Amino acid sequence: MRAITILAAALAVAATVTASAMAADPLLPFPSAKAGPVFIAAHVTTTDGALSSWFKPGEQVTFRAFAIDRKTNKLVEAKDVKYFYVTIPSQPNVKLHFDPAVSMKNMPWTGTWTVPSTAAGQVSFRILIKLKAKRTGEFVQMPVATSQLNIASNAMPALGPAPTAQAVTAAGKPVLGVYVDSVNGTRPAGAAPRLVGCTQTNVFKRGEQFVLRAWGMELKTGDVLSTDNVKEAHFSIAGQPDTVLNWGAHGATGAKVFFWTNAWNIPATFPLGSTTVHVVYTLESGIVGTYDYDINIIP
Amino acid sequence: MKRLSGTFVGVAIFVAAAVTASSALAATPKPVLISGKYAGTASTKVEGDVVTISAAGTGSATMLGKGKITGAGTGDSSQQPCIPFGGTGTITGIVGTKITYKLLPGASSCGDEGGHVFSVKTKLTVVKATGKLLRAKGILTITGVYDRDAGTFSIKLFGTLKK
Repeated sequence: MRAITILAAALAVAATVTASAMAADPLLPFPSAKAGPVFIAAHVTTTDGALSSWFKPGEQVTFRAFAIDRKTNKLVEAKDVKYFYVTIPSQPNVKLHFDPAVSMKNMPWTGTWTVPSTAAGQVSFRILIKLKAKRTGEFVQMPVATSQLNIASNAMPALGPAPTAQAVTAAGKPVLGVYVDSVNGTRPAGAAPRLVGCTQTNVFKRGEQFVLRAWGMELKTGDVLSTDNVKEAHFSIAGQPDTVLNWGAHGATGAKVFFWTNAWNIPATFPLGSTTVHVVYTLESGIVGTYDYDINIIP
Repeated sequence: MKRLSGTFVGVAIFVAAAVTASSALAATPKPVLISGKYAGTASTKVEGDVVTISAAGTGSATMLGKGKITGAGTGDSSQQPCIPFGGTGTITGIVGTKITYKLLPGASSCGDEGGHVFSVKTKLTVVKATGKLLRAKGILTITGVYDRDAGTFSIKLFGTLKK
């Protein structure tokens, strides 16, 4: 009996030590070390599909998203869903509708929110999903203030027009869930910096600095992609050298999170119009996952 | 005599077979899983484009037990935001177990926008191992974070050696 008590005590101490060691681990990536069981990626855009994180009161904000069920490795469709909506503090929920015919091909879920005339400040929205199979998922914004959804009466109009939706989901069952967006870099080499740096946009002028941001998860394990499991990550743009994605800390001091980024200085001669950015992750295990993302280059 | 001789031959064959089998087994390297966490202090001194790095910390890992990790090297700060670096160091554990390592090319440390917090990823090759890891060879991976303002680091050490 005494031996059992000592064993139980030892196990309890070991569990406590393990738990505290895990709690002290500062390497948590965005949004957490594990994600799922349903992976969600979502964008905030104007009604015509131009990515933006700043809107004026009274404007319409479009949320678009895709989701992958880790259990089946399938993209979530209307028949799979019990609910899929955007929750906004002090606002009615925005239900997302599935319509691949009218939406961006690799983000077939959309919903629109009309910003109240009295709204102001940062909007900490979340997107929640529950499948009929009872599995759930949640999407939150990367905690970088200028790139989060903000409402301001003096918000700069989003650059347009939006890229034509060329990107499609890679063929076959996905092996990685990858979220990709882009922000304007604060140090453009060949154009004037925008009034607010690091705001979400998918429309860039020649000479501006395109900054790709990404995070993701391995669907099989639920592990978020980090230097622990990624051998190499990069993005490719036709006619340009590949750009390595770096794993690093971003955001305000005390609230930093880790995700993948790097910048590409858009040449003054780069062809105008929509172009597809091809993002590739190669894991230490040999698994390769890709995601295609559209941007528009304007004069 | 014949029977004795026959017995002797039989024993000799058995011994030879046993020795051959054990030699063959001994010649097959066994995988040794290493997984641990270390934390401590690190300093970086920048002169021109050269960053002189030194780090020392404590922690534990499988096979090594509780112990210390040290490292010293240089980096090239002309490359931003990810600074390539190299160096050497040791990881000591219990019962005389010690790894002397050298970082492989490709080690880099990527800073945030203000150069305050750096992510670190590098692979190290075991130059020499003693104690419980005597004659172990191979490559281990280090991932972690260096907080330049606080002068602290925390890392994970993982991989499989052969011994």
